[in-house]
Amino acid sequence: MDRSPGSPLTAGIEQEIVDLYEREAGGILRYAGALARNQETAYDALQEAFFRFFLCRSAGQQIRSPKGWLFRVAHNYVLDQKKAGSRNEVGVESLRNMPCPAHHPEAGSHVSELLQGLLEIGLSPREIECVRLRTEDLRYEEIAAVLGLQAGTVGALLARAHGKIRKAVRLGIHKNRDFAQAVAEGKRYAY
Amino acid sequence: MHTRSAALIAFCDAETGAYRSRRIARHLSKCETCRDQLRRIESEKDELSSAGARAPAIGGPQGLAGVLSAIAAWQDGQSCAAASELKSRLQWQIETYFGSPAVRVVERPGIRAEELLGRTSEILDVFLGPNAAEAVRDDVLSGLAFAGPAGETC
Repeated sequence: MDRSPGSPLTAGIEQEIVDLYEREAGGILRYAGALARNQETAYDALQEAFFRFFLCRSAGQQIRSPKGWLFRVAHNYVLDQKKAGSRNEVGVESLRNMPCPAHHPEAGSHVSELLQGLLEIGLSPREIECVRLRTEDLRYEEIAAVLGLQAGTVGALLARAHGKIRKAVRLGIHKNRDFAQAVAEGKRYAY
Repeated sequence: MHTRSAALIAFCDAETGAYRSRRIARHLSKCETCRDQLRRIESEKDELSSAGARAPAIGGPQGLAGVLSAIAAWQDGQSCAAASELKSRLQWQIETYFGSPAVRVVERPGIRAEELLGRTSEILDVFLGPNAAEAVRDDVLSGLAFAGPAGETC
């Protein structure tokens, strides 16, 4: 099969990349940016993922789930950068970089306010990663491939994360009530 | 008996099989508590998705143009150093797993790096299985400066 530059096969792969890029690049960049806590590394991860995709497809590799594959490469790239200590710190604290729902004009509920602090509400790194990838519409199987887990584990982690989020929402509402009460008491004492 | 939240989350994500989905749907039609729980799961998912909905701008050399230009540079032989590094990493992997005579079987003079990657991948897939082969591919491809110094032709 002719895989030389300019051959119909190579042109087909390039078109595949263009289509995939239009569909998935935003999500991958958002995910990598939050994971890396650095936009430069995120852009590098995005380029790396797509270029590797080109190489592997040019080498004849069939990629069953391109979206999951690209997320996995970007994920591993960011982690490699961390190991190499090259650009920045990477870690579960990356979630702090997640666009903040409280600052999102359309958001405003207690859930939104609390979801920005998933770390504070006690989600484990794995749970946070699962939640993040789920919000990018990855299938459980794809999330599992990105994180090196079993698909069943993804479901369990999401269930646990959901439970913790719900608990935090409940506690958050209580906290707000306490806060309101404290403010009222403070006013009383101030007089 | 209520549906477990893990099952409702999977149902919300369309991750339950047809049979299980039918069972859950049947239960939901009769159970207000589980319907409420499902609504909550859906709204939390929507909240999280809308929170991350804004993607950073991608354009210029960091965007698709950058990827396509790296591909063009690779195809034109301008990524000489990366191509040669890739070949040598592949040779090393073949040698490690199958011995040096295998390198002579897989490689031929003038072979392009991606072709060597393809041939090596086929062997690794067969002998190591797809997961291990994927891990080896990741290892081989990581840290290569793909774009390479512009203008340097092989």
